[in-house]
Amino acid sequence: MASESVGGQPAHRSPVRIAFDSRHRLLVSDYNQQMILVLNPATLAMAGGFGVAGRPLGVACWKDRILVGNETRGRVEVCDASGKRLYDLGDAATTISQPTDIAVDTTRSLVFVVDGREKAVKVFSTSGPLVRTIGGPGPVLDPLLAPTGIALDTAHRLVFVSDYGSPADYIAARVQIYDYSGNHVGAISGKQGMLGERFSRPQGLAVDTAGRLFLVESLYGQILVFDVSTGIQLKTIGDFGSNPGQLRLPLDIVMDDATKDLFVANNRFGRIEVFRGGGRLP
Amino acid sequence: MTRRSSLAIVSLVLFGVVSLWPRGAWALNPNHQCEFCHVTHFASGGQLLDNAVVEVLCLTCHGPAGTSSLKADVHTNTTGSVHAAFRMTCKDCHTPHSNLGNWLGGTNLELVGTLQGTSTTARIATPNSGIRQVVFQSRGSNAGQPTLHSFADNDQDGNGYRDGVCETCHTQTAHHRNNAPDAAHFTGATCVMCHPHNLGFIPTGGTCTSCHSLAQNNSDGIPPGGRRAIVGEFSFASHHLHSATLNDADCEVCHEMTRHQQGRVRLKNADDPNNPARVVVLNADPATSYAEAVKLETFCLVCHDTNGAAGLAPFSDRQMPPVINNTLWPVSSHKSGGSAGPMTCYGDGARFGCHATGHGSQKRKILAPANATQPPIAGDPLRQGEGMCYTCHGPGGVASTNIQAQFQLASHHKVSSLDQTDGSRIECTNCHNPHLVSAAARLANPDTSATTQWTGTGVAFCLTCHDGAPPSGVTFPATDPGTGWSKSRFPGTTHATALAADACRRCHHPHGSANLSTLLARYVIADNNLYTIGDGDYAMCWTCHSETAIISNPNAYETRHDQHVRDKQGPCIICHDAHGPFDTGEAGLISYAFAATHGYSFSFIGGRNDSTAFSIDTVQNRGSCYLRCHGEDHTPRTYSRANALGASSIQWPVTGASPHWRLYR
Repeated sequence: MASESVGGQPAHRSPVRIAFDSRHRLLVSDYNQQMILVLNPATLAMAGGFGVAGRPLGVACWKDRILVGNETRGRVEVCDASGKRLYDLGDAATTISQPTDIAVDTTRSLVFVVDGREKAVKVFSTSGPLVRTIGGPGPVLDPLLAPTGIALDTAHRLVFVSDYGSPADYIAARVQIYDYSGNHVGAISGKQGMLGERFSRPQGLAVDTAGRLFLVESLYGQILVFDVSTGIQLKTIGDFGSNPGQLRLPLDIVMDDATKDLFVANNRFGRIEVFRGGGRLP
Repeated sequence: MTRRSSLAIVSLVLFGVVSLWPRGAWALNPNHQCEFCHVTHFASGGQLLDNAVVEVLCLTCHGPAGTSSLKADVHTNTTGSVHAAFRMTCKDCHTPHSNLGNWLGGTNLELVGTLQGTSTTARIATPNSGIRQVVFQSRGSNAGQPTLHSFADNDQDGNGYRDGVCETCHTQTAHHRNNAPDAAHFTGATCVMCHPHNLGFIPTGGTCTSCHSLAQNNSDGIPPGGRRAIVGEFSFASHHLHSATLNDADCEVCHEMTRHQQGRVRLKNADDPNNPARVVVLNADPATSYAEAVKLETFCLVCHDTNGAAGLAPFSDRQMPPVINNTLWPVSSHKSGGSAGPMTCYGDGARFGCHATGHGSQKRKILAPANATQPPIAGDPLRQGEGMCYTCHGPGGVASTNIQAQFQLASHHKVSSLDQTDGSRIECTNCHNPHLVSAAARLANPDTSATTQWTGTGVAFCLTCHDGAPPSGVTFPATDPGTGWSKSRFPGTTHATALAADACRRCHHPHGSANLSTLLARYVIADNNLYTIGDGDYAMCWTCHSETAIISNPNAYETRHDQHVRDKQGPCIICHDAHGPFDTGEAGLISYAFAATHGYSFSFIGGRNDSTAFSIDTVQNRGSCYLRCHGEDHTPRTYSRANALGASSIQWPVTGASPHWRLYR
């Protein structure tokens, strides 16, 4: 396990989301610096980056394109590798008030965008058009109440969305699970038994090929690992604190499928924490 | 007892305390229901006892990826600040449960203020001023609300207490301190428009123009004295675009903002704006440092090329920038600088660069210095025309040649506005393009507004103006265009042929001279001129022709040159037109057109005219002229043509160049 700093000055760094690009480099959206940083996953050294005309939140990769959720513009921008904006997803009438996270099914050329403010997941074709919306306004069974992060199980065509729930209504934080058509197929609750809780402020998610869900709990500073099929918590990684490897307001996670290294955007310290082999479970 | 059991007990106690806390009349904030932050029975969030954890709790909703639309970050100072580092976290300024009443009887907004000591009104434990009252009932005029009791109202209510939510703490900031009045810096405005809460109040919010319309000084000494007001510069005499159309996107065409407020100006490459490797970072003032200024050259030329900013007009005014030839500029004389040292685009206008800040200048063409504070010169007090050139090409300038002195001679091209009261107009830049000029190609093509190098002959260059159809930007005197108005008949004449491509400059200086008509030597044209051999009155002629052969010795015209020029005091110009295309029957550029139209004591007789003034008898080898000069009719006068010396009287400086020729070539 190791942790290292990303570029920029600590007082100004604010890593939010993290993803791999097509060259297997890390992309990190930095909210305060208004940049997408490109890092070498082996060393965490800066390998490039580009500025964003606004506050970037979600970041993802589709082929050689980089998708950036621009909170200021309320758009998901499709950029080339240099950061040049090529086009926006959706048309002029398609609002994405708060594009907090993005996931891509490269095989099916679909982009899933969490719109935190509209409490929905908007599904776009990679070429731009809006395909469908999951959740959103109106009476919906098992709605999204305060969605934040997203991950896909492309093999099973499942969408995992972290959701703060609505504590005032006694609806605990959860991970909502939908199929690609938007049908609610399950959830993993943050509640633990009658009175306790496993997670309260779930943010970024990752799903591995073995059907395990890695969830970032931003308040308690932990990575929780669940078996998707049973909802059973398998493991807890990391803890709250300020030392290397400890987390304070972690917001996203990505796993290197080959090495099982886990990379976590540790917001309060402006760092990317690396848990080498952390994704390797019995 | 296990840790979890301890936490449970603590949580129960906390819940009890919260439940029984005397709240008076204030209601719980509807967005902050108890369950949002507290788990009533077995809270695993025992860290609620720790302010740092409360900060994380707040930021799970109010942080960058949080679910609230109200984004916030803790209040710190900037990296490199001269002040000691500080950190004001959420609960230092806010109570999470409900809005508090303040000491003036109102209720604060945004949960501002905390309960300190036994007070039941909103206060803040400040870093340097102890516990102070805080009043925050208005978001200020930018939000369409009253200015009183806002972020910083400079004690508008006159109670002697600066209690706005910003000013109640500040004691060392450049503005709005609780210990000093400040009505100059957006008093009563909505501070967070420029100092956004989600960036820790570091002033990067708002619009570029809203902050930089005034001087900025965060007291970090970078640059010394802070940053000057910028927006007004876009209304100067010249600018990149006018302030009326300036917007943030325009600013960000040039300025790379990811390190805003971190002490350095960072500039983008407009053709590749998202490439960090091509960002130019200034570490000092480029107006005083060549090393810094030269960094800007590529930055400037990226837009000032044929494709503008990646094929587009850079700014919202949709104007394509003037093109600088990126092949010729790198090999230009100004770029290399010669003995003056290398030059670049940006500078102070006196040493290594001609252009000022890209925002605007009180001189034309964004020339430096932007405030036009150089010593004025007559006719160009701002030094934005020929005065700009004279800064280097004048007395004491860094250039090796004092060009200004040449334009101060008796005859000169009228580049000074003091000379242009007759309606004439010509400037240095009609003939020279400072971006193209080189030792091999000093001239630009006036017919293309000097946007291209001149590649023709010297004669053709002069004729671009002196052909009776001057190019745009060049105007001859309205009342008297002079004989220079059109020399279009000069090519093909004896002088033009003999003196070849640079014929004009064999006799004329392009800038000025002490002689008539910028001639390189004295040439008297006044009638009745008392001339003696060797007095130099016609020295211009004698640079090529032999005074002895023509005046002293009998020649083809016997002694008639001596008779006319010395005895009868007639200047050469009465009979000769150096630019003339034909002879009136005699060889030697004989023409009376000038004399006939300029008041000389001269007229034709016997019905003759300029073309028939001479009659040549080739059989007798005699000539006759039909003129009346100085009142004397020739009717005609006949002379022998037997002793012609021909070209032997001519001493062409073709191989032995004259001093003038060498000097001005």
